[in-house]
Amino acid sequence: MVISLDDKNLINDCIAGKRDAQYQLYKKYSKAMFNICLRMVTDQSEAEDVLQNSFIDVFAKLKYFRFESTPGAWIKRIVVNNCINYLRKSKVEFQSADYIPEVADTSESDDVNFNIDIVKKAINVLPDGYRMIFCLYTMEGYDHGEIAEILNISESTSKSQYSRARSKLYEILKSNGSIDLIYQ
Amino acid sequence: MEKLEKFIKENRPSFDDKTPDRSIWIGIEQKLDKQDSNKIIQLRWFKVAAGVILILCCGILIGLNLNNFGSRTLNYAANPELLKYKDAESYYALQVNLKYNELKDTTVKANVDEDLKQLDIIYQQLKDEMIRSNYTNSEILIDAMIKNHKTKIEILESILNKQNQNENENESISL
Repeated sequence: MVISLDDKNLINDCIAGKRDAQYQLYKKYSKAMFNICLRMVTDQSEAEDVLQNSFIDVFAKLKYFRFESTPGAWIKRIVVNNCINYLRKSKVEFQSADYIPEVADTSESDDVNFNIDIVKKAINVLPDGYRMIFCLYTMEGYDHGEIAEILNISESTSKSQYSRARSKLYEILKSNGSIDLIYQ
Repeated sequence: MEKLEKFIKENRPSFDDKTPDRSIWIGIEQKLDKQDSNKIIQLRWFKVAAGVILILCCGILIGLNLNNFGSRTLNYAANPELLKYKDAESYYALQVNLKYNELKDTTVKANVDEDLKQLDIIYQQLKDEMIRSNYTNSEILIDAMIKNHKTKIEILESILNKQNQNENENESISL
């Protein structure tokens, strides 16, 4: 893992408590982290709270950062954990892998075209548990092994939940007509 | 890769389109400021505590040194008479102890404690004088010290005699 000298200096200045360095670090990562919070938590003001508390955590824990990953990946993990803790407090439960919910037929066609706003809205209305896994996998780029560790579930649960989340997303896209519309 | 995932991957930056409000950083800054001031207060308390401990340690050390100064022990090897006296001293101390332990009445014991304490003070003065005079008048001082021990023993013996008489009387009455 190669970390630039600039990043190292910035982090050391943050640990030393220099406010301008802390602001630089915040400026560099806050936008990406805010969008993670918004996708995971969905509520705007809750997302703002999670973002704020996450950066307080980041500055408090920075002295334990061992440069084993990029600062961005390290901060992202703190943000993701805080989002999950927030959602857990509002009691999100994962169904075990053997439970198979009924999902409408979502046969995909290569002709389907997507639109960013419509996909965003569809993700936003996914049930919490599905949205968490879907975002972690497609948006944040974690693999099922990492998701299993983050959510403290088995890898197979992560995989099965992901495929259900995906089916559900198609269902939502279909039900609001966005797929069929393009499909015609 | 499925179409949906492909679409998201290709357009990933467009999904991060929201910018956090300026007020969020202000909130973070306020919390950090508060944490910093707490740290400074903690540091101040730490300094005060460290100062108090330092003063206490100094006090204890000075106290110990003064105490040692007040009860300097005799250098028995200073002259042969004193060396002889060393054995006598431990003999008398043992006698005093044995007799003292025979005492039963607590009020009598308290009175005896008072007397013995007075004699101890005198004994300490004799010792100090011995050291101060650099062991020149040791013969006279040793005599005085032995008298001191003997006085203690006499006091204890007279009380023990009375104690024994009382016990005998009690026994004869109960007979």
